[in-house]
Amino acid sequence: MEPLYILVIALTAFLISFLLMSLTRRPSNKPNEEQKKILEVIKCVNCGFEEKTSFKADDYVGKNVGKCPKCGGDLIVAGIYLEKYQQAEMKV
Amino acid sequence: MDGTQDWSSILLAVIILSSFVLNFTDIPQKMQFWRFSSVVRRRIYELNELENDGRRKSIKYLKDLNVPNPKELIENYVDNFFMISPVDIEPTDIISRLRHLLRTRDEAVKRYVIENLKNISDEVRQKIEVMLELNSILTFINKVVKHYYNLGVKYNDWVLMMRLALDVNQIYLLAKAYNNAIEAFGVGAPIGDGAGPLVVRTLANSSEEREIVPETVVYESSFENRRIYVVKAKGPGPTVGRPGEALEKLVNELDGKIARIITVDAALKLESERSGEVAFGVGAAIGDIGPEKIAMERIATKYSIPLDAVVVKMSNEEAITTMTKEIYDGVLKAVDVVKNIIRSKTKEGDAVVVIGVGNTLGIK
Ligand SMILES: [Zn+2]
Repeated sequence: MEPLYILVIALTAFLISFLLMSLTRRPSNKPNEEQKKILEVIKCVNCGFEEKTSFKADDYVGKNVGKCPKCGGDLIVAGIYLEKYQQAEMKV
Repeated sequence: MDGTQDWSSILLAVIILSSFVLNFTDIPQKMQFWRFSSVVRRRIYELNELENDGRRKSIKYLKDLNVPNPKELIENYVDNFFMISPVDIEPTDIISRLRHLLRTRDEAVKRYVIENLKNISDEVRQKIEVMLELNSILTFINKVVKHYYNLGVKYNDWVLMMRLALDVNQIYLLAKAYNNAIEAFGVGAPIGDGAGPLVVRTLANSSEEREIVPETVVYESSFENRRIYVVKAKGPGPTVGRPGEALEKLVNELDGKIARIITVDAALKLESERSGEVAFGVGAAIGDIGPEKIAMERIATKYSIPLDAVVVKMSNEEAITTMTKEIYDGVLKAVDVVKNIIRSKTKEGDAVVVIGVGNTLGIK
């Protein structure tokens, strides 16, 4: 066989595989399966009692949100953060 | 002539011709230009979407705050209220000139909001100011990208278009972060940049605050027989306050009888670092363009007070959106780091100033 043919075949194969690769590599626009929830850490200033609830609008860190069920001390919002729950990846 | 000979000579001609085209014409560059510009065009379309979406969300949010004409309020703000940097080839008194310009601008924005909406609380005013600023940034990003795209097309500059096509993905992510920030500021929960204020708020066990300079408060507290002065922006509105000016005034009030100044701030992480990592060092931890930071350094130097820095690391996007669990864990770690510094580097009876630098949204 002519070496030229081999060259042409090799080149074509390379080009086709390159094209295919760039086509399949396109980023998938799959939405991130993620659930988000804003949580509040509430602490008692006296006894260290701590609980987590969901965030309510107009709440802020340092806000007095009631009395401690254990000792009757003030309950203060100590922190607010976003918890992400990553859902299991769906594979087809 | 047999068939093989025929084919191979055609092929040879094709190869020679195509090598000529590749090497001695601009056709490959033209094709690349066409491809790169289509990439940029697609992104510009998405940036427009982000800008409009941000505008929509802000209008809805401002309506909830009982703003009567949110659309005009935003339209009249965007593009205006720029600040021209002071002359820096003659640096004498540049800090005071810069501070003057910054204050003038802040005052102008404040007056703009108050004139349009009479009788609003400081907290609501600050929220509206942030909304306007975020919309302004989104519009600006969009405009800059369009500017370079149009320049590339105008001058057929394929190098410019290629650079833009490579950079536009990062720019898009940045714009997306600002778009998400609009939502986060609307929710009103602390953002990542609030790490500094949250750390120091945890150290202030009293809730008695004193507004030492505008929008900045001091809590007096104690920890293991040391007096602790906690400085942070006045919450829970989205403001950064004036930490440098506050520190200057506080230290002067106390005649410099301070054993240590500890600054706590959010810092931009490197790509290889985890969000919520805590690190400490020396210096003023504050991402300020000058006036506040230099005020801290000057007052610490004047009285020879050691200046410590503690940072919580996060990405750009995390800094301007609702604080994540990783960063909250970092905050708890940073509280321990600050306590350790106080324990190991000061004596009982000393006075220590702890400054939480950052946006105090959702943290009173
Ligand atoms: Zn209790």
